[in-house]
Order: sequence, then structure tokens, then C-alpha cells
Amino acid sequence: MNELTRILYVEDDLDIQTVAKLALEVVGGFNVKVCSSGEEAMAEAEHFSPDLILLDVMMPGMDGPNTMASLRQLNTLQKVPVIFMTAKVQPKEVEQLISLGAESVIAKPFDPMTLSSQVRSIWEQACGRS
Amino acid sequence: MVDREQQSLENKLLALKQCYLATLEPELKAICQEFTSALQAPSSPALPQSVLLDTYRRLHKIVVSAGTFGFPAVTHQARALEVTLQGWMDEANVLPERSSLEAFARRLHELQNDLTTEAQPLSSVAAEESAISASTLIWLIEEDAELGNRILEQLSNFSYTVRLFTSVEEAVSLTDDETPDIVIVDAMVGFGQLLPLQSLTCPLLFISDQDTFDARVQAAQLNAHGYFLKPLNIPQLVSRLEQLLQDRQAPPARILVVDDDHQLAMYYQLVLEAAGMEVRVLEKPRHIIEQLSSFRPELLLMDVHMPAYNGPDLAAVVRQYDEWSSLPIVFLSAETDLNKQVDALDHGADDFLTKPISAAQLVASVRTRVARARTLSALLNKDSLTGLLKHASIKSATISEIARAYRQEYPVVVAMLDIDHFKKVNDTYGHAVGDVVIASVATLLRQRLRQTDIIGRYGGEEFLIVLPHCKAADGWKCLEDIREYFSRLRFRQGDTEFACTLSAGIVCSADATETQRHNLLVIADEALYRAKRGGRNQVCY
Repeated sequence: MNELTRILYVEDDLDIQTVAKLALEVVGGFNVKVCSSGEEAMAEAEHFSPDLILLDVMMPGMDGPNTMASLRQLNTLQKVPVIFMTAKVQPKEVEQLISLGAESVIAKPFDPMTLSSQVRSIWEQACGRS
Repeated sequence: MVDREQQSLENKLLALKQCYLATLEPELKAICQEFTSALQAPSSPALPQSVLLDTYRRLHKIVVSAGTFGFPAVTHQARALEVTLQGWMDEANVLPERSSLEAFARRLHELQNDLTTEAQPLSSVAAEESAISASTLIWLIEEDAELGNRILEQLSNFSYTVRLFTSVEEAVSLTDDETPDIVIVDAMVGFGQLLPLQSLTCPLLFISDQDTFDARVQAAQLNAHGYFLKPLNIPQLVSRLEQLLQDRQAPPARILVVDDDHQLAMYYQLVLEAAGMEVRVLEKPRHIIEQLSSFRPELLLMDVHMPAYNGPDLAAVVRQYDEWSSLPIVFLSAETDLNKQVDALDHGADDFLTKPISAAQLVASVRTRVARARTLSALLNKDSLTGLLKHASIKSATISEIARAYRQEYPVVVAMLDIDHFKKVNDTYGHAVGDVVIASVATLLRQRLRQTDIIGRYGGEEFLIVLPHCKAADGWKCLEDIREYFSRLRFRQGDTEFACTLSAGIVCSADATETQRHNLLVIADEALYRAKRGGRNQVCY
């Protein structure tokens, strides 16, 4: 796999959006595309062509798992790793999300200073496996 | 990352944090208010499911975000509330108990306090020295320059900025450029000359060597906030200064109104709120005890005649609870029968106001009662020299704070602090000077610590401090700053100048083992002992 540079980030909460975007861009140096809903992500994803997708689980309308399922229908996005972000990180809940085909789960609230390194290490693990 | 980038990121994060805080505070308040008013709505016996869902949704938003913006304790507490709500919603056909809902409302209220505590970072405590000395500006008008300089020096020990004038004109000429927080005037300049100073809105204190009734009346006519005789007792003067400064930033009085007449209750609420007070109205007297413990009012304003319960009975019920035994209770009633008024007073009421009452009269009588109650409780619980909590109060406050910290799983630092070789200070310079030293530690602690920290005088020259939401390293740094600053203070006795030092021992709840939990005070004391044995003038873990 190539280098991790482009991240598609889907989150409905504007406050969290802003701080996560800042953290990923400034600390991680990533190119980040932010969408506020699953629907918007569907419209933008192919054109943006992300290396990795970060998905909030609880969103109005299409929730995280639904968005992932829909994105996976798109040809170019079938193999792009997905990371969920959620406050519900009991082992059973995490297992459930992984079983849907997600790479990993990042707990909310996250620490803006370490978010990028968390994302990067999940990415590296995903590459190591494939 | 290079330093500059790191700095700019931190600044941006800080700015985001401020924005977030600006929305979080009103949001928490709104959640709490909406939940509470839904709970008190007379129409619905049970809380509508929609309220639970709305509260859940809004709390969840806080759970997932607060930690990211640097408020982990808020996330933690909000999560606990979220779990409770989830449980209620899962069993939609089982209505939660009224008492559980009320307890929930109280926890929502506590969440706001948690935010206040967390939003006040320790770093702001260890503020720059200049910021502290610039905090309070005192004008001293004293014709005797030598005496003036002596007072100035002693007050400067307490981190006040003092400007000395040797004439009233001199002071008046500066009124356009500067506004003092407090003015101290030597009565020797003559009362007649002081009229130009009346344009200043700050408190005025007199010092004088004449203790005549006429002089005191003249001072009172000029709105004096104090009259101190020479030679000055500086700690006494300082404690009055601190009291005046505190009064200026006093929190709004909290008043609970109990009246079954909705319109009248609303009127009282409007009038008192317009006067800057915080008011809650209770129309169902049955819930008075729950309301008292969630709202913690400083005065209870109550109608004498209500359908189900009468006022004197309610007052008597309130008085059955130890914690409300000194709450001022004022009755409002059209009652003109003297016997009934006496009966109400017998049942534990403090005062009787006869309806109809003018807005001004209502505000004035409520305000003075609250002010008196505050002074009284301060006198009961606080040490007169330092204005800090007394031994018994600080000890019980410490124990409940430690318990709260373990319950809610946040770290708390307990520190014991002791002035080094204090006996020698007393023996060499006399007790009056010793008192100055003790009072200066108290003032320093108050200035350097957060409002939510607990500070008390534990023994003669020993102090006990509790810092909630604080880790060991931050607590150590904070105490270390205080130690260093104190060691730089200079005290005077006649022509001799001397300095003092202090030692401290600290412990953090997060570092204590299971068995040590109930002994944090002892562990802090042992650390203090190590600091003493290690050569004093230091802070030990």
C-alpha cells in the first residue's frame, strides 16, 4: 500500500470536527476532507479518493455502520480501511464494529495531541496484514 | 514538530477550547434547567419519555466532546449520567422513582460545578507575580509621610499595591487616571476636606488616634466602611480589607420562594432577580426538603397560608434538619393578627413581612438578612485572624472532598503546611508580629489558589489545603510557588527586617493505596515531617 496522506473524516458535531481536523492536519500533516453526514460522504468520497476513512458511529440519518456499508459498495473504496470513532468502547461493542469490517475503533473523547499517531499506527497495522 | 508550530497548535487548541467552553456552560445550564422544570411541571405526574431522550442526546454530545477539549472529568460525570438515563429508557414501561429523578437533577447541577472546577486550570493559579500585586489597588492618604510609608510597607507584604498621598488634593488630582479598590484615610486630614473623594465609589476606611463618638459619627456620615485606631493592628486592617474585597465579588444571594399563588410568586421572583439575586419558586410545599438540598438557598421566603400546609408547620419541618437550623426564614402574609405572627416566630421563622409589600422593601429586607447570615456563618466557621476555615470545618470539608474525589474518580491533592521556626518569630518579635506572619500566609494562599480549593487554619501556624482535580506534580508545583514567594516576603518590626520560610507535605489521592485512602491527612503530615527533617523551606511528597 501507498503512503497515508488522504483521510476522509465523517462527523456531525461541528466542535469535534474542527478540533479533529486541526489535529490531523497540523500534528499528522494529513490531507483531510471533512463531511458532516453519511450522505455527504457518499457524494464526496469517490472524487476525494481517500487512503483511509474515519467514521463517527452515532450520526443522525445514516449512522457510521450504514455509511461504511454504503461506501464499500463504491468500486474504488472497497478496500479502503475504515476506523470508527465512538464513546461506546466496551469489548463487545468494539468487537461488533470490527465484525462489520472496520479496521479499528478510536475512543471518544480523543486526545487531539495523539489522534494522528493513533490513526497512523492503525494504518500501519492494516498495511502489515494485507 | 518545531517549537513554533507546536506553540501555534497549542494556541489554536486553546482558542477552540475557549469557544467550546463558551457553548458548554450555557448548554449544561439549559439541560439542567429544562430537566428540572419538566420534573416540576404540575401537569405531568411522570417525566415524559421525550425529556429523557432529549437529555440523553445532549449529554451524549458532551460525553464524546468534553474530554477532547480538556475536560475529562466532565466527560466522566456526564457518562455516568448517560448510563443512568439509558437504564431508564431501556425499561420504558417502568417509571423511575421520583426520588431518583430528583437525585438525577442534583447530579446535573453538580456537573456544572465540575465544569467550573475543571475550567479553572492550576496554571492560572501560578500566575505571574506582577498580576498578583496588580490585583488590588489601595490609596492611602496620610499627611505624616513617615507613618504613611510604614503602613505602605506593611500592606505591601500582603501583595497589595499601595499608593501613598500626603494630601487629599494630591489624591483627587489622580481620580481621572486611576480607580482605587479601597481608600484609607487618616482622619487627621479633617473630615471637611474629604468631600471631593465622595465621587469615588470604592469603600472608605479611616485611621485615627481619636476614639470619640463625634468623630465616628462624622466618619459614618462619609459612608466609612471601617474606623481603625492607631497604632494600627495590621492583620485586623487586612482582614477588613479582604472582607470588603470579597463583598464586592460576592456571589448572588440564592432565595427560595414558597407560595401557592403563582402570580404572586412570579412577582417576588421578578423583583428579587431584578435586584441581582438568584430565585427559585416552589409551588408544591411537599418538595421543600428536596428543593433545599438541590438549590441550597440562603433564605427562605414563605407564604403563611397555603392550602395543604401552613407556613409555621413547614418552618418547623425545615428546622428538624440540622443543616437548615440556621437558614433565615421570612414569612410573607397579609396577616395582621399579632398572635399569629408570634406563633410563626415561635415555630422557627426569623421575620414577618406584611403584604402588600413594596418592591424596595422586599429587596432591602431580603438583602440585609442574607448579608447578616453570611457574616454570621463566616464568623462561626472561619478563623478570625486568617479568615480561613477553622480546624473543625476544614477537617470535615477535607474528609467530604476526599470521599467525593474517590467516588467520582478524580485526583485530589491534600497538603499540610507549617511556618518554619514560628516560635522564634513570636519570642523575638512578639505575638502581634507573629500574627502578621500567619495572616500573610493565609492571604497568600487565598490569592494563589483557586476558589474551589479548600483552605483552612489547622493549628497555630499550621494550614491544611485541599486541591480538587489536581495531580501530585501540579499540586507540588503550586505549593512550591507559594513556598518560594513566601520566602521572599519581608516583615518588619521597628527597624529590623526579617524573612520567614515554610515547609509543606503533600499527597495525591491517586497515589494512595487502598488502605491509605482514609489516612491522606496522616500521610500529608508525614510528608511535612520529612520536609522539616530535610532542612525546612521545602515541599515534600
